[in-house]
Amino acid sequence: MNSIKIQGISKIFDDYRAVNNANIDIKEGEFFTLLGPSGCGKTTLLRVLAGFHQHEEGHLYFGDQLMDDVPAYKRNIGMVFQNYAIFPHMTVFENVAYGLKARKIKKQEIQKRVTDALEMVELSHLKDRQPSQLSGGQQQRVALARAVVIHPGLLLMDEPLSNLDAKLRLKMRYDIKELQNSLNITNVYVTHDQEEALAVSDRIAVLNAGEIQQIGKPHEIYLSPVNRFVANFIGSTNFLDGKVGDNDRLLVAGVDLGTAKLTESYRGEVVYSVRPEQLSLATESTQTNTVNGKIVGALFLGETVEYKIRLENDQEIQVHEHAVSYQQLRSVDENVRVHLNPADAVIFNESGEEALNIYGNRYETA
Amino acid sequence: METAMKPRKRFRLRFDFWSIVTISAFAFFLLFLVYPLFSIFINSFIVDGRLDFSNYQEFFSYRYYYEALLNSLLVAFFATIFACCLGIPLAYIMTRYDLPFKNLINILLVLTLMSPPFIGAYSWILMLGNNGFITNIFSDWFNIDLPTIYGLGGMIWVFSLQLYPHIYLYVSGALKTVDRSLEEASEGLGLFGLNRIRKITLPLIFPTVSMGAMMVFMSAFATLVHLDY
Repeated sequence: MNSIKIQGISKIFDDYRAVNNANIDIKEGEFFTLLGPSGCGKTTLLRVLAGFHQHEEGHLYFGDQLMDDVPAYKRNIGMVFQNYAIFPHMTVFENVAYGLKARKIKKQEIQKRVTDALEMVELSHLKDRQPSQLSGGQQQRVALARAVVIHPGLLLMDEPLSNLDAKLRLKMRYDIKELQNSLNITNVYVTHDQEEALAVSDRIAVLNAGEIQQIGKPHEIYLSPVNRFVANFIGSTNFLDGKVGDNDRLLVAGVDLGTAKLTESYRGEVVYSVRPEQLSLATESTQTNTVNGKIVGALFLGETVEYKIRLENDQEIQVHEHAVSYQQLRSVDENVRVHLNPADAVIFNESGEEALNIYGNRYETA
Repeated sequence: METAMKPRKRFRLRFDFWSIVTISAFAFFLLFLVYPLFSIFINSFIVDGRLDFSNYQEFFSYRYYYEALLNSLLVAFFATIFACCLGIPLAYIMTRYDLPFKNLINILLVLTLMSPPFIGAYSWILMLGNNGFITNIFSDWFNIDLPTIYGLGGMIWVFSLQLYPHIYLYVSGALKTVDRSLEEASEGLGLFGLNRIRKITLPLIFPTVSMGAMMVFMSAFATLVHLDY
């Protein structure tokens, strides 16, 4: 088991920086996720941790040991690849035993540890099968067993669930989380699926274009995104045009929302960012802080109804409401009033690069 | 899987364009491949219109004949082994490492295959024959007598060098399609270098290697006949 210190690491390919000056402290036994759109550098950073890429700048520590020049085979890592990378010419048992044989462990112990690992992923009955006879989910679990059977100091997973169908993906999420909990291995997990990241992680680093945008617990990243990119990438978000005027008055879509509570003084255009489920449709005419609009689209999803609403200023926003009763369902073309609660919203400066009303810190390490 | 799911259609002869293509392909195959080979095979058992094994008796009773067969086998066998020893490492290096003049080397290798065996053999004689320039350089400058290029050893030498591009081409094709993450998985699990190649890379490309080896063996086995005369 290891803590990991990523200190100013950059990975440069020819003429561009795939990862630029990454600083992350990962605690022992933590489930840490690198999250970002494809091409953001998350897999590159994972491969730097694994030792498949050599970084050009910065230092990598496992515990207090410098790992910059340690080759992959000496790092004692377990890696689960996106395509599983099961050896096709070996049985399930041989696949899982591979790393143990490489470590010259006694035959009896190999037998025992492989059996235990296969039991853990519920595959002991398939140990003599060829990989080609396994389903995607089973291959996935062989890869998992193969990675953890060597008792790695660090478990690395590169989008392990992206090739599974939706239902299996949800089940494997729980399985992986449970496994990681019971083994208490430090785990670095790469995904582009924000929902998956929120579900499994202790902490998440959001990456974009090789730069870390924010590091935080799932709820911090969701509720207090530090910039417009994070707010947009995690979950769905409405961005409304606003303005902070004299006496810190906050104006959004033409509505005066009172005094803006900002961490620093600011004057000028702002972006008012609010989640669709944080907005509500006003029921009483007396309610304040409302914007008039018209429903232009409605999707009934069972649990929630997603309304697309065009505001008076022609901006379209999304509002999610729980579908509780018939009376509550609204139809297209209905005129509604959207209630804004400034306490829920995140307010960014004009360029969207900085949150003005939260204390977000992209390199917080607590 | 998809083909297995379809109900099997019974083959029905219909006179459309494609059945004509099929029939003419079969006719061509029978006439120009099966018939000549079989007629030679059958004629080998027939002397003066009667079933007779004397041709075979003759073949196996004269050293001159059966030794040619044995030598062919021997040359083909060793040429195959040496061609593999040359072709596989070369293919590995060429696909895995960034070498200067990679494309040029590739073209030269294919050129070797395109040249007729006779020209290959002749150029080796010009280099290493009794009066070859390399032979002369070694004997004049270093006073070393190189082993002769004529005979069994020379044939194995020339065949190996003439035919290893077969192996190279096949294997480099296979190596390009081998999933790199399998090799990385092996390194992550602690097995690297030659051990990794032995345990992962070679087994994965083995079917292709055996096919290339087959090509080399057959070429060497068949070409020998020309040179014998």
